[in-house]
Amino acid sequence: MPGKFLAEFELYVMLAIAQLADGAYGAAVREEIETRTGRPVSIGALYATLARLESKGLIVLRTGRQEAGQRGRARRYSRLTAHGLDALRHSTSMLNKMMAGLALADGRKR
Amino acid sequence: MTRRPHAAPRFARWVLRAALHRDDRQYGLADADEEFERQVSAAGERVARHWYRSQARAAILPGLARRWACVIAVARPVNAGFQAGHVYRDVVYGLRGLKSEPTFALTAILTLALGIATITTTFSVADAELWKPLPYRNPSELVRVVSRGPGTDAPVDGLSGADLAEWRACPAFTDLAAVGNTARRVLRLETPTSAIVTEVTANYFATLGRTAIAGRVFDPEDAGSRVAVLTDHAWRQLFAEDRSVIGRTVLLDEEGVVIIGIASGDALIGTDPDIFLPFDERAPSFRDRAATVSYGAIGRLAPGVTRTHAQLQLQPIASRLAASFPEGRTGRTISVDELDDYFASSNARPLFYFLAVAIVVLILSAVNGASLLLGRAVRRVREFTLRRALGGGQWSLARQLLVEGALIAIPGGATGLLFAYWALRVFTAALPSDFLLRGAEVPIDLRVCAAVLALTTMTTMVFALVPMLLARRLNLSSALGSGGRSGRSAREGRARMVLLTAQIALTVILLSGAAIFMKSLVALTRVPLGFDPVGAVSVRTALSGPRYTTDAEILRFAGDLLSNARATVGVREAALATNSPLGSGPLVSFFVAGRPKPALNEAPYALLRAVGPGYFRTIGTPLVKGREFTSDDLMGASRVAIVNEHFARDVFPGEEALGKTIELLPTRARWSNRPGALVIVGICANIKDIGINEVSFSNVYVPFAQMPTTRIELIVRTAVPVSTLEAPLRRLTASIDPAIPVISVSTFDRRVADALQGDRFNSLLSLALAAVAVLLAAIGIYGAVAYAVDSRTREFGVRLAFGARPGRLIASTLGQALRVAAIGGALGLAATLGIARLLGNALYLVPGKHNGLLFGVTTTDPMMLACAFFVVVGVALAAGALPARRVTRVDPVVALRAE
Repeated sequence: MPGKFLAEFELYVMLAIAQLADGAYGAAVREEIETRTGRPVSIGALYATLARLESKGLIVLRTGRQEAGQRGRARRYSRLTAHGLDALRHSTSMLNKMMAGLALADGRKR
Repeated sequence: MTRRPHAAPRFARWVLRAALHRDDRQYGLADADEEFERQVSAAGERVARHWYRSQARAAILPGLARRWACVIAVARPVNAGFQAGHVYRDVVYGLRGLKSEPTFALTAILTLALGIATITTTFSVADAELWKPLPYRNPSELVRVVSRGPGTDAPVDGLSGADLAEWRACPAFTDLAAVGNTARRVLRLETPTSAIVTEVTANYFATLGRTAIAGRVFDPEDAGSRVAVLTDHAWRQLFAEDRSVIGRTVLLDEEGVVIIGIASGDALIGTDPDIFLPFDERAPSFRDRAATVSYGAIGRLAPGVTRTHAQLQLQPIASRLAASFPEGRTGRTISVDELDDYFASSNARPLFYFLAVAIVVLILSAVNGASLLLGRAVRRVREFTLRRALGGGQWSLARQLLVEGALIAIPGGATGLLFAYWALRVFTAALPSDFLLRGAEVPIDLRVCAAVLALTTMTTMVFALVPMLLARRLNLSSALGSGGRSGRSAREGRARMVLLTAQIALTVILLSGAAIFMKSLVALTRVPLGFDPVGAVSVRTALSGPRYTTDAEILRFAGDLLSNARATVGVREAALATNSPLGSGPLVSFFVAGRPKPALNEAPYALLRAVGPGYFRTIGTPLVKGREFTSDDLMGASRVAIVNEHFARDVFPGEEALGKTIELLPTRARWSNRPGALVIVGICANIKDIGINEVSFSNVYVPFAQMPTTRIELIVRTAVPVSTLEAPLRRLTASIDPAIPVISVSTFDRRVADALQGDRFNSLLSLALAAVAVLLAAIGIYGAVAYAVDSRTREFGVRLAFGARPGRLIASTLGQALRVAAIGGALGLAATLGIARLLGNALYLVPGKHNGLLFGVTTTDPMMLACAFFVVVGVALAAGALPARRVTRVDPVVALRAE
């Protein structure tokens, strides 16, 4: 059933949010994924995914306060919910279980 | 151009903005701007802008999918299996599929669009003209009530005010109103203007439920008072939409009337006048039983009363009245017709024809679409079988096919509506002014649009699902294991050929129809007119008011007009008339002196014109025998007449008409009502009286001086260009009586062109529809041959590899197209002949009518049918040749590896 497993991109987004802790606003999440995976991330896809994750109850979105040096830009920060954290643990542990004992060739060329 | 430094590309920003969901928009744009600035400082503006654009592009599909998700979210309880993400994936997949087959996508969409555009356009016009109810309260209650003599073609009896009062006693009607004859009167504005005036009973507006756009319409107290209601078009044209005109007193033939309002709804039931005046229903002239105030009445049925009931209830009243009529009117019958029908019937035949053609075009487009989708489906059977074999659910397959169907249906429908919108604009602009009674404002019929869109979407969907059924039936191993051959079954190929053959046949029928219309038009332009339109000009004027009540006053004006015209530079000849060729005129009944006098409604009749000396020379109508009228044929001199050849042959077969005496019977129109004996002094050629496509009428010409009328037409023949003469001709009346305006100056060339407008329109429209059909047939053949070539690529590869000549391969491919075209064409010809037989003479003129659709061509014209056949076969071959050429470009190596 959809919802129990996280889709690939969803997983990336959730991991990026976890990595960024309190600083997980849109541009930061995108940059996090791009720099770590080298894969370009579309703003449209990111926001669609964030909305989906929120509707599944995996993350919460909150509007950040205006900070100095932001030139008045609005930011919305994402944070994992308890449920989201569970799902992330579940997915990654399953991934780990599936990968245990495998010696995968370096897939960077793909 | 100055641009802010480091500004994000505007269009891309707009796209991104639109693509992002409302909740995310602000943040997404902020993110994009932040990254953009970073990129500008890191890599320069060019790179940053490029990045921004790619971001905008990438946001479109997720954006669309998310919107779609809103709709799906609502539908989710209904169908739990339908997921936004899946649909999005299906859309992407479907688009990719269409992109890989652009010819298929374009032809399918175009096919759908053409069909929808044709039916929507034609149906909108037909609906506006034939079926749309009158915009009045309860239009089904509105009727026209007439009394007429025995026989279906008997003229309608005149109705007097006294009889109307008796009719009103009939309880079947809540209201009965009379509409008088129209008359031209002079409206004194800054310059005197001729206005068309109709007297109506004061309940006319109440009966119809016709309201005022400004001011008010007549109420019962207005009967006989000096008030007037303007029609909408008169208010626009004569008063420039000036609202202050209400309450103003205007002079109508020196008589002041107060304008009380402007009536809504133009010309929906017959031709509207410029001004309505109320009858004085107490005046003796209105109450006089022998006088005619109108021909029939307009009525509103009492609630619950049918037309048959009303007819039965009114009949005894009418019979009693007829029996007491002084001349004795016998066998009078009342007919009660729907008002709408009565006024809407004149163009029904051509409209029905075009509607039928449009339906055929719709069928053609459906057949085409079906054949295209079928071909594609078969090509993909392998794909679907494979998907099922790999565990793809039936539902997911169906959903994808539905999405793919929608990807064709939606753009097809939208393009079709766009075409229809353009076509209607062109259509109404090209329409002859009097072709549509209901005015040229034809809105796109939304109901038709909805119905056709639903229908096409449904068909598309059904045909989109066919491959699924095929995939279910097909044995997995046979589909996958047939050595890589596409699963093209012979049965499918045959089905497609049958569809194509039918399509070609229908196209031949439509093109034959169009060809026959064209030939008819050509024949009409060559028909002898009986007069010479080149260089002839008609100047019309009408006398009204207290200064022109006697014959002497009218004749004095007419004489001055004629001598003024003759004195105008550039005028070679001039003559007076009451009406002229293609201008119709009153009918007068007569009998031959010495023969028994027939009853009024059984006497032969002829079209009457009063003309002055030199008329025949001026108009260019040859005089066959006898003499023209001279200036000696005056009032008081012995009364004479000139008749046309048709009259002479019809009334005096085998006899010499010249010198015979005929006697005119009383007529309706006041001026022509001068009964008495006339001696025939001349015989002239037949002319076209009302339309070009008409059976000759009997004509009687009388000297203008012996039957003068206030409606004067001056015919002028010039040697100079007409445009230089228009201004002096328009001033002709001013020097005689400044109060009398010239109504119009028009050339006879123009009149002839106008008379052919309807035929020109008919042939153009049928040609346009046939062209659409031919285009569809071409698309069909193209698709079929392209498909055949594609699916035989392997075979061709093998044959080429073994040294087959490309020419032979092309010929074998084209041979099939030729066979389909020839068989379809032959069937089409046979069907055309069958239809022609069925129609018989229905499209031709019958005596006394003016609505013949065809002239000078048979419905089985061999030349035109052959043309249609060869054009269709030729186009089919050409359409087939395009993809067939691809055969030669098959690379055997590639072809053999292809599957």
